[in-house]
Amino acid sequence: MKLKKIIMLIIILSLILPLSLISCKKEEKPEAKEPIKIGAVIPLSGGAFAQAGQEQRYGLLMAEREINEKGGILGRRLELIIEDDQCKSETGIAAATKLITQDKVVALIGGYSSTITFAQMNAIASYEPIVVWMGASSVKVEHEFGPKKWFFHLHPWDYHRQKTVVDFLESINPKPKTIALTYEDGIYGTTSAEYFRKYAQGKFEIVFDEPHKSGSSDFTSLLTKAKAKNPDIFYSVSYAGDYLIQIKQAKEIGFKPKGFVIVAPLFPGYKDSLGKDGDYVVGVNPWAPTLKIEGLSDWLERFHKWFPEKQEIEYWVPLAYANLMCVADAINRAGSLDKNKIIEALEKTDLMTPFGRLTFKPSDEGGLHQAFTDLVMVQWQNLEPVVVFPKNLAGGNYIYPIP
Amino acid sequence: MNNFIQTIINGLLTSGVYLIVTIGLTLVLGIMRIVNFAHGEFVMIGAYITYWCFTLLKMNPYLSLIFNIIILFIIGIIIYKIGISKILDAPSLDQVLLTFGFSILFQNLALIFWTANAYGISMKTEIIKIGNIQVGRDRVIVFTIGFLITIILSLILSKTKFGKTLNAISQNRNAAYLVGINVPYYYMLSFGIASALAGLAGGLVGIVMYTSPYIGVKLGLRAFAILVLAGLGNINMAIIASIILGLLESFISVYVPQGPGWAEGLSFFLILIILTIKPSGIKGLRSE
Repeated sequence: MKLKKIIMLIIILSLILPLSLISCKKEEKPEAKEPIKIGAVIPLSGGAFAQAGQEQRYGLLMAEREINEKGGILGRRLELIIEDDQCKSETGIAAATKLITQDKVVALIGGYSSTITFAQMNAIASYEPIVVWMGASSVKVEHEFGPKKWFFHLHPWDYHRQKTVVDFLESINPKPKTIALTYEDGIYGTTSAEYFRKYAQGKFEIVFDEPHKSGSSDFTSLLTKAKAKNPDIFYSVSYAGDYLIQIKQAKEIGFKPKGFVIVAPLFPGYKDSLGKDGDYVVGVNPWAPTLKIEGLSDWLERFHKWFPEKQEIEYWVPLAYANLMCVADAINRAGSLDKNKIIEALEKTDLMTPFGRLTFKPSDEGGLHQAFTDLVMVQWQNLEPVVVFPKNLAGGNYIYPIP
Repeated sequence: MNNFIQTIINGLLTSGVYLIVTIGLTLVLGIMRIVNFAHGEFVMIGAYITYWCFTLLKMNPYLSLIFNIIILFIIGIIIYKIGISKILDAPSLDQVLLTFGFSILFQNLALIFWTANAYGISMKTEIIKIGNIQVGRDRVIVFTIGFLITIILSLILSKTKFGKTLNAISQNRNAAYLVGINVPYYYMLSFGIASALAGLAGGLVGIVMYTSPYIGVKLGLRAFAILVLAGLGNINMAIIASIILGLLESFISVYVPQGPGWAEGLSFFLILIILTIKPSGIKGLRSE
């Protein structure tokens, strides 16, 4: 009787156990295959920033495809959730909060506008998520969120940019004496102007110093006023569309400074929109496709295979690629999704990216984790961008004064 | 002195751009009593047509204005048929929401089809020089076209049978119905013409500025300021109002410290002041 019971028990167990194992496996399987989610908030519509956001999207998509092609992260598929901040702070906050609280993303990446970033980080600071941010160059963001253990930043800060411009101007022979400065009146333009004044003090005379509204239909009055001061250098801190009008209208009113300096001169459409009028304009940029960066030419080739329709690329593409790649790399090295382990891994990042070598170091004004700090000056010469500063990276000489 | 004259000329030339953008908006408001918030987006579409005609077909941008007028006229008729005609008697809020909806729709369609990049027409910058004063040839052409079109439109409205019919509808729609005027037909034509004018304006804006999905937003704001300043729907006064705005912006930019920033806010300021102090516009011709 007892034996009968034991046999029955064995039979039942032998039936149940494999079933339970199968069911366990079934439960484990989707868990094991569940993708690792990373959330990105970038501007894709709603205003002028969308131009940069769409560039960022290309870089993010390429990184996502390449990561998944190579087996994903920790053997799991990477799911990149891209949200559009619509160039508005309130939408940016909602998108970031949704990614953290509903999608439960492992890390938050992306970013463009300093103003929107400031609002977003304020709103999500209580969650202390892992943020690896490619956008926002205003030091206001650095001062407030740079010291946070969970905040990592890729883009050079305002002062890196302005220091490069001043160093470049000092390197010109003969050295320019007078400068006309104009800047868009948002947080980006005003902070840039503050740093420019600080670094230029005692080195140059700023004979014209006025803000302007980005998106204006007419800059002739501003340019007329600047022209009256007869500056050696005209320096404008603004956005792509504004530069198109400023460069054209300067020609129209006969304003011909010896040097015309802008920020980020390699935006798509520059060459086609301005043609020869755009020649000799020089600008500060954190990247150029002609830079000698290890693996850059391979990366560009791969990019054009992924996206054959996209010929001109702005620096946001490789920066966005580096943004997602460095998070994936850190999670792989951390070996788990534990927040502290990922932060530790991020701090030890040493990754070669198409944007340059990526490591995180403390920044000059209190940030704990700053990746890129170097910038170059690029001049349009015969409708081609040429790196002209610093000398060790230059592909040609700066043509000055403008012929 | 040179600076002073250059400032006046800059202001006048800018007023030409503002006027051509405003004129279609004024026509729709004057005849149909509808504020078309999608007007700026019609301008944007016109700018893209000129850009693509120039880039893909290597067409002279001024020649492409003919295509702008035809295409935008057709788009205007379609929008009227599928949307505007349905809300003619609806409360103002419905009209605002509908035209605002079209505005968002066109912005996003432009974003999908043509990305958010800013594109300009890379024509050689031709300069007209008189003494020490110099201006861009294209801006002079835009100014001339803007003022000529406005004067022609004003003459059509006051001297022709077609214009008088539109005026009659504008003054009393029900009376126009009673005397046998086909009001919906004239409404449709007015909306089509206003859209065609926006297309023309867009082409000219594309030549002297650039184009992007959001180019219509800021220009639209200037157009509303001129509309309010002129007295809603008053085409003749729109000329004076656009000159006032253009010159004021130019002088503030040059002669007020930090002027360029202040000049941009002028449109908002004018709307606020006029609506508070003299809602009928500078000549008091606004009709209710």
